[in-house]
Amino acid sequence: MALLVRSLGRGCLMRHQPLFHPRQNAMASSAYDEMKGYWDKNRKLQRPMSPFLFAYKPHLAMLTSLSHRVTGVAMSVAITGTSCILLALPGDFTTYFDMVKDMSIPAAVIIGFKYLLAWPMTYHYINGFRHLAWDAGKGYDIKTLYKTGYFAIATSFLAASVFVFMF
Amino acid sequence: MRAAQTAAASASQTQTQPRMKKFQIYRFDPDSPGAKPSMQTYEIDLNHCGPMVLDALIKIKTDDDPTLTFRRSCREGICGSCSMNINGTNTLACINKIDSNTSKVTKIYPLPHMYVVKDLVPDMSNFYAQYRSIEPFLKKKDTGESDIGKTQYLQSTSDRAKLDGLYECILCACCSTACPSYWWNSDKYLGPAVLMQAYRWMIDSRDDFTDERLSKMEDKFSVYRCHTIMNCTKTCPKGLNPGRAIGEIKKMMLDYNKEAGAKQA
Amino acid sequence: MSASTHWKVERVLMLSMVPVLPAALFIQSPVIDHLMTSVVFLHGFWGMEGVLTDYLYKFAPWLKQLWYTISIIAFAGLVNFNYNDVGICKAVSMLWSL
Repeated sequence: MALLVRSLGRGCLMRHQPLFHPRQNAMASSAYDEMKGYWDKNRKLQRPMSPFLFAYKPHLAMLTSLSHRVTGVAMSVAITGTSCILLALPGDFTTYFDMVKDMSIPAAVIIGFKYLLAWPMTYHYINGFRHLAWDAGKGYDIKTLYKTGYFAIATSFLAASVFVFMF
Repeated sequence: MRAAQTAAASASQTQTQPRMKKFQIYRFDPDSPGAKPSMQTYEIDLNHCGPMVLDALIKIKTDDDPTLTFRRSCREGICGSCSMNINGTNTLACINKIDSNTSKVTKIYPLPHMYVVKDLVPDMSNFYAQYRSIEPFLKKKDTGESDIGKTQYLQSTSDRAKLDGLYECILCACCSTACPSYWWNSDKYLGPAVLMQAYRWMIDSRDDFTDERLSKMEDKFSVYRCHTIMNCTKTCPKGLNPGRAIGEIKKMMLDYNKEAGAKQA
Repeated sequence: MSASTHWKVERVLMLSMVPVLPAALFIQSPVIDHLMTSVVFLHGFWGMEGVLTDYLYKFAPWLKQLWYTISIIAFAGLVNFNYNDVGICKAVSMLWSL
């Protein structure tokens, strides 16, 4: 049986493909076909999807990565949004700033607002170092991962507090 | 006679109390019409059960509910059949100790974000097809069929050491199904298990097709959906590090021979 | 550009941001303004592209053009802000003085 398949392969497949082991090419194309067939078959059978978001127990690595993404998206949206809005509105920044100043917002709200601006920046920047270390190939073992993770969270809050209260 | 009776009575009194543990298990029956997945709770006595979650599942299937369906084989953490989500973490049921705290319920789900065939059995065919697509076998250049088996392919000790931590993968799919990127993009992103095996062949000194293997990853999805979330390394029941392997692939992608790799037909 | 080149350029940009961001805290100048704007904007643009590729592009491929358009408008706005208005470093220090 194997001999038959081999001779068939050598006869048919090699004629159409360039110099390549016929077994390899046959494997590659059928793997692709299998991947395509998988989706059609499962949709047709209407199989349920096993739970993921609420079934997976959160842990530090996942949460730090999620926070990195959330802070990044939030800042990107904020910068893009603010820029577009400022472009659209008449007048310059100073007039709007004076308007806000005259509203005499309570200090607690101002401090909260400053944390909201500062912490995503400090967290994303400090966690960014973890990402750069990973990209350089360092710090992948679980112990180091957790140590650097806790360090990043702690220093981000510390740095944000420094910015809020000392600048 | 009375002495024997009193002895028996006192013996039964000093018998250990049953330690009843609840297991909440995901059930799905594809054969019943309009079927919907649900959770079913079973209670077993830990005094009459082995220490691992697989022992509990087998006990439930034997004594309580024969319809409970799950994959299993070696019962020693080497075949990768019994991978499932236990108490929120992907692991092998045969080497996961039952939490002896009887006030807590053990929750068992199938591997996350996979199509469910029945109960705890997911459809693994996409995972296996992705593994085949990275050509997980030795490829030599300038070697014809007749040369195979003629000479040994020698490898130094240091080159062999590079494969440590990579070849031990049992393809249980715990890591790939723990990866959120694989949840969202399992059609085009290869996932940590397959990528670690791709790396295993890329750095095998006996393999001649490293550049070609790397050039197959030159698209937005195969490797680059990895954002170093690191769920994979955290969950691997064999203690391997797929996250690091993917990081090494990304590094290798920076300085390989791109022209040589792209020349593959 | 190829996927691996794109990845390399992204990392180079990130490395360049490491000194630029603290510099912006202490040096107030139009050069820093423009530098900050460019690097932060590009990094955010590519970052959002990655997020959108992960979740949304397979459902709504037109989002790619939308994100491009919005980003160009936003970048124009930021450049305008740096030239014709107080500049982002000054703006942040003004906000902080509240």
